[in-house]
Amino acid sequence: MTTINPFPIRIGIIGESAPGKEVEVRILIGHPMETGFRIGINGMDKIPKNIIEKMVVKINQDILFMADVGTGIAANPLLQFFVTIPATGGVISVEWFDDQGVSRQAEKELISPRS
Amino acid sequence: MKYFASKKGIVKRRFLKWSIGAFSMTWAGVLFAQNKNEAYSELALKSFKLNPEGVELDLPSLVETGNSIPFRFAIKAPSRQKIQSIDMVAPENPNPLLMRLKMTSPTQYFRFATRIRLATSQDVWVIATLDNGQKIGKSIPAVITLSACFDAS
Repeated sequence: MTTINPFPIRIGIIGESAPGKEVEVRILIGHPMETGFRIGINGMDKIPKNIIEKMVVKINQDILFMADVGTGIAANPLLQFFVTIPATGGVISVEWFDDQGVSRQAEKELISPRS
Repeated sequence: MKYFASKKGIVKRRFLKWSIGAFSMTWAGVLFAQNKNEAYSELALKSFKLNPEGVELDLPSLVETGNSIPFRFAIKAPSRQKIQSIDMVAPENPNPLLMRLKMTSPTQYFRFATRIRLATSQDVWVIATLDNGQKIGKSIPAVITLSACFDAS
């Protein structure tokens, strides 16, 4: 049975993933990011606001950065940045929290044969 | 007759008092709402006279739709200084602060890319706060042919 996740997170690691090397990390978060300004199909009612408010990116439980997100970030937010892989390797993880109390978390091995 | 005239005067005075109170409260509310976004207004950002050295921005100069625009930047802090936080600001958006990145372990060089929404043609700013409290930043113009945020599409 397949589970349908309405808010998937995809983490991609681009570059030579070896200890001490710098790699590019791309995180794609599935989220509608409704601003609350748009009008619905009936032309009268506003579509309720639903945006991600906070994101936390960690490497091996050490916080790399925290992001306060506003309505100015496009739907399905993409974060692209560079990290140096620690000598011991490890995992990169991302967690987000939206204004309706929903949160999701995903992680990926920094050094893996598939990345 | 005199009694009625004086009573009318009191009612009028009371009405004026209430209306002035209500008007001033509304006006105070409007001013407060304006102050909320004042820090990120185009004029305020220009008045900061930020040092643009070490900040590189990349945004398409002409964009078909403001709903999703790739935005990329690289910031290199001056020597012996580290980046503590980075603000991405679009002053003409309903909510000017696009994203604020807070570094828990400050770095000297940071590259980042995301996709932003713009309500109208404007300058997009990136302002980095360094660990000594100094701010560096720069803006880049973008022309939007179809607005985001307000349309019903």
